[in-house]
Amino acid sequence: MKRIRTLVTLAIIICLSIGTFYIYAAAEVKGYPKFYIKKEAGDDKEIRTLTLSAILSMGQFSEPVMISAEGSKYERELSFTEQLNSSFLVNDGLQVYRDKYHNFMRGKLMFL
Amino acid sequence: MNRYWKLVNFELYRFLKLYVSLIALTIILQFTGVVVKSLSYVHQANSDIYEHGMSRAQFIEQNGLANFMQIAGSLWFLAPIMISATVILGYIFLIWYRDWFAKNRFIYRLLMLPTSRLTIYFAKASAILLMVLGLIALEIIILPFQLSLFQLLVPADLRQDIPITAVLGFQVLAIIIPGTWMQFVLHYLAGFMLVCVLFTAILFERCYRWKGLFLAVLYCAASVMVFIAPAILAAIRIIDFYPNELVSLEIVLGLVVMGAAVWISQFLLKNKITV
Amino acid sequence: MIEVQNISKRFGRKQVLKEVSFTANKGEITCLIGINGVGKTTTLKAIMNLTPINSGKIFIDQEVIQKDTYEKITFIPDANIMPTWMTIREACDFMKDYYKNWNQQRADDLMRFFKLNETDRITELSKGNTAKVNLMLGLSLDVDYVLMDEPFSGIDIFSREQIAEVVTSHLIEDRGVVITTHEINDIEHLIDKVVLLDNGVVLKEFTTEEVRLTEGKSVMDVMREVYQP
Repeated sequence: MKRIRTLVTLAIIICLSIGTFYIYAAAEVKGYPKFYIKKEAGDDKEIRTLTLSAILSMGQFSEPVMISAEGSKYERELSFTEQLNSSFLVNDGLQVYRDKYHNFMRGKLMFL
Repeated sequence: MNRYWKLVNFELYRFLKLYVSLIALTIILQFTGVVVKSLSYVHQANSDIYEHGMSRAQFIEQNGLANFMQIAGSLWFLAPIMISATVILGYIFLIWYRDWFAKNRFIYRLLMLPTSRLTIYFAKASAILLMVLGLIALEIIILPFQLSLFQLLVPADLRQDIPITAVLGFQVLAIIIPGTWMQFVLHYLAGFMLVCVLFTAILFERCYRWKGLFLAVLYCAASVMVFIAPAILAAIRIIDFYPNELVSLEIVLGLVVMGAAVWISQFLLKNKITV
Repeated sequence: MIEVQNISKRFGRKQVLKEVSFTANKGEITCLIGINGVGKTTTLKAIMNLTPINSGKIFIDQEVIQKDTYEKITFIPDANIMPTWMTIREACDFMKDYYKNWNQQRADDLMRFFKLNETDRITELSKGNTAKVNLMLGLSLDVDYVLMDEPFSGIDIFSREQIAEVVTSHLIEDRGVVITTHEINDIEHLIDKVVLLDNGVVLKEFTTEEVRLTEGKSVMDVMREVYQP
């Protein structure tokens, strides 16, 4: 071990610090502001298919968030594949159509 | 103990003095930045409020609340990161060339080690990756302390507290410390690929000298072209990709580029290298 | 046995080696002789796969060189090849780390013999001591073949004597040694075989015993014949 001291020290510092950070980061996103749709009057059913695409903005930081009848969900909370598959900013219902129609909206997404 | 690990350790050790200076530079400049930026904000608040009779609300309306991003976006904070990046980019070249051109010709010894020459290549590449990750780790370690210092210097009613993930979510910080674990892995895999491509370009130059320089440029251009081809095709609307298709394709192409770099290097180190 | 078969090497337009062939046996000292710039060093580098050759083949004990061969053959260049910040002790530790056949006992013996101080930094060594450190590092490996590039060039007379003594001593008794040099005075009595090179061509390959017994000539005599016809 003595002969690879520099390497071992550096590797331990890297793993601990970066590992801890990503565990913490995942937890911190859960503490981002929560949004929900509050019923004042009317029929619950009407908003069941409603999703609001929003952006949370703090200082120069912005993070996409979806608000629906179930509450809010941040883009960061999605798994990596979910992040890629959903076009969060555009329309969450897109996936349904993509599964149904092979090339639905191909090339029509705002960032491509 | 495996010769590969010993070589990685050796390469890290050789860089240690410069590395420690980079660490010291980052710590000194960034903490100074936190102090200078925080105090200048507080100082202005004090002078406006107590000397010019502005109300707190008025002052905040005019200047906005202080938040850590103003510090993280300042040159105090970003300069050490840019300097470190430049030094490490330079060291990607130096890690090979110093073995040829320093007062000693250590490359003789390295190439005569009873180990595959690709081991030397990977040891150098791994050392570079670890140096970068070490600096990232440093940034992550000192960030909470910087935040605390900022909170200590700026009174609570004049500042907006922002979560760490948000502080890291903009500018160059979002590239070097991306928000999710998976993105982090992909970013640094791409970084490792870049190191491999540059190493191979260096070996081209080392094997064929002036002609090699030309080959190295061609080789780099080819590697870049392969890697960004899908993005170009998508941009000029020849093929349209869904984002997930594009990313999967880039991962595959990245591995292809990396594989080619390693294969070419293996060939050059075995058959063409000259000391 | 080291077999060099018809190797040719060009640097740009300059033909450095032309169809060079010779063999060097285990237990013998083979001397590559020629004036500067005739391709002696290039030949040694080619044997160690430190420079590519344009054609020809090189075998070490019937095998093409590969990574494990470096436990069997070592090259002692005429300049320092260890990082200058190292001390002699650290250089030894480095060798010990990477070579299975490192012989610490012999390294200690050689350091004592050469009066080297193991805490000296490599950067502070004189030319003579650099050569001695090189020799110490190379000879402390238990290898079958040792290639030495100009071990005597630019070195004072006392160091030469020391180095020559090491070369003759038991330290390299049953190894195959290849030495390049352009002056053979110091080692004429040691060498078993001579390969005379000029302009990248082998002019003559002979064993010293042969020319002494059959023609009654010394190596110097043969050299005079070949180089000054």
